[in-house]
Amino acid sequence: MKPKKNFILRLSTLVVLTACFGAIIASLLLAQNFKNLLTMWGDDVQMTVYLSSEIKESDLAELEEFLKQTGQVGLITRISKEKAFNDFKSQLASYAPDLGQDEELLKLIPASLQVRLASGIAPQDQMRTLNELAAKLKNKEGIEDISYGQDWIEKYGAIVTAVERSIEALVCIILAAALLVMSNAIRASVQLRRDEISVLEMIGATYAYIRKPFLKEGAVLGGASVSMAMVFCYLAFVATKNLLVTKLSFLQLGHYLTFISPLMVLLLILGGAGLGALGSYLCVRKINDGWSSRSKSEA
Amino acid sequence: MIEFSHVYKTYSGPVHALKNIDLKIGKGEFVFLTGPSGAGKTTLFKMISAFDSVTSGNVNVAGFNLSEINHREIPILRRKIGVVFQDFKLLRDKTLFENVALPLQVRGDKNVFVQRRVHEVLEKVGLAHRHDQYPEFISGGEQQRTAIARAIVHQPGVLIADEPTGNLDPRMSEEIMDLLEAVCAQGTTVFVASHDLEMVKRRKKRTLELKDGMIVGDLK
Ligand SMILES: Nc1ncnc2c1ncn2[C@@H]1O[C@H](COP(=O)(O)OP(=O)(O)O)[C@@H](O)[C@H]1O
Ligand SMILES: [Mg+2]
Repeated sequence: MKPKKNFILRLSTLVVLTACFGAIIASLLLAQNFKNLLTMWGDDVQMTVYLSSEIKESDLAELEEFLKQTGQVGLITRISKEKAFNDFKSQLASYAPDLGQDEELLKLIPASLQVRLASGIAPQDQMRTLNELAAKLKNKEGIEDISYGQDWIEKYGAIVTAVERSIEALVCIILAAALLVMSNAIRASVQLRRDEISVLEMIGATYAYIRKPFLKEGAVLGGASVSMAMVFCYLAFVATKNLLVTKLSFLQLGHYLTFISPLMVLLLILGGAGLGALGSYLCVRKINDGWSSRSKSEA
Repeated sequence: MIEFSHVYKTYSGPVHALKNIDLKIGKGEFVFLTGPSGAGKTTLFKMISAFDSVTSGNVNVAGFNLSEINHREIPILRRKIGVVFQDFKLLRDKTLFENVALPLQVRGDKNVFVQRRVHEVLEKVGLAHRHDQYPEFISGGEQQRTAIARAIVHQPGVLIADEPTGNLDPRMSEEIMDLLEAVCAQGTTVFVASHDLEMVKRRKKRTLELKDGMIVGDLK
């Protein structure tokens, strides 16, 4: 097959497929980096365990040990009554300057433990984990109250889930579109090569033999368009990251952006090639028109 | 080599394209199939090359019983026959050499053998000097000679030619018919459909006459 034949068709298919796969890779990148950012913000998720004023040092140590045993928590910080009071005072200093003198108030403010969640816990699981921890702590000695911004975390988990679901849906839709475009392109190329296929059938070529060039063509088309899409996405990614690091450095986001892993890149390219070959396999059906095209020209 | 018994072929409509065909063509015979357009000549050739199946009856070609042939065997049957069409059916983007080499390549012959055999056959049809030409740059007669070369390169037992001279002028037609007779002389069974009665008469060969899907004459 000389390249000039259906060059335009192949080129336009390549462009459309590259766009499709580009959209898929971009969504994956967005999903991945959105998750990175959420995890970064999610690092702030913590729980405050308010302690009763009668708690003994041994109970406190035991409590800390218990929290560590769960494996679900990261850093635990002790906040004494005095520190809590001072923090409170400095925060409110401008509103109520004479607060500092109120010894009664100091008695009302409890000591507490600030408990961070372990970093390995996914944003969607944070809420559940916190609920579990709170339930376990509820009946422990020396605990007054537990607070962990329940509202905000719940919403945050829901957002992460929603974003992931919509990206999954988007990827599926685009993938279906890509498959359609690819199978159309191959069907068109089969159509253009009808004569060749019918001659091959006539001289005793097996279907495996007839299919082979189409499978190759499909695999090359799929693999090439994924590779090209990958290059474009990488360039866009580097540009965005540069922008975030230089012009928008105050957002401090640049550090958290990552590209798809090399393994994933390889898998996507292979997947594209496989998809192309599959598309061809499904399109190259028996044509079997040895004489029929001639009968038409005769008529 | 070719044997039909009680063969019927009915297309949807219904069109009765072949009715109760009985015929027997031996090894190395040269046979013409004549009849007006629509008589069923092409349909009969489609049956022989397993491009279509019979509605009822039996067809035997080169040792294959076509009523029982399965999909895997069809390519093997086709490697034992050669087919020539009115419109040549050469691949435009392949050279004469590549066109003729195809039947050897699809059965996986070694390149050295392919080279030698294709040149031998192109020599036989008088086109060795044009082997790297593309079909659109040669005359109709030369194209049909190339098609015949492609049909005999794998040394089939049977050659079927459906109106091989239908698109050619009389002088080229004679050339093609001479070539087909030469092929037969080498031991290949040759079965040629034609509605050029003058030419068929001149050649003085066995002639089967088809009319409305029935064989109405078998002249030796
Ligand atoms: N695929 C088909 N479907 C329906 N009718 C067909 C088909 N092929 C051939 N016919 C009919 O069968 C009859 C014989 O056709 P054909 O074998 O092509 O005749 P010939 O080659 O002698 O001109 C014609 O009436 C034709 O219209
Ligand atoms: Mg015909």
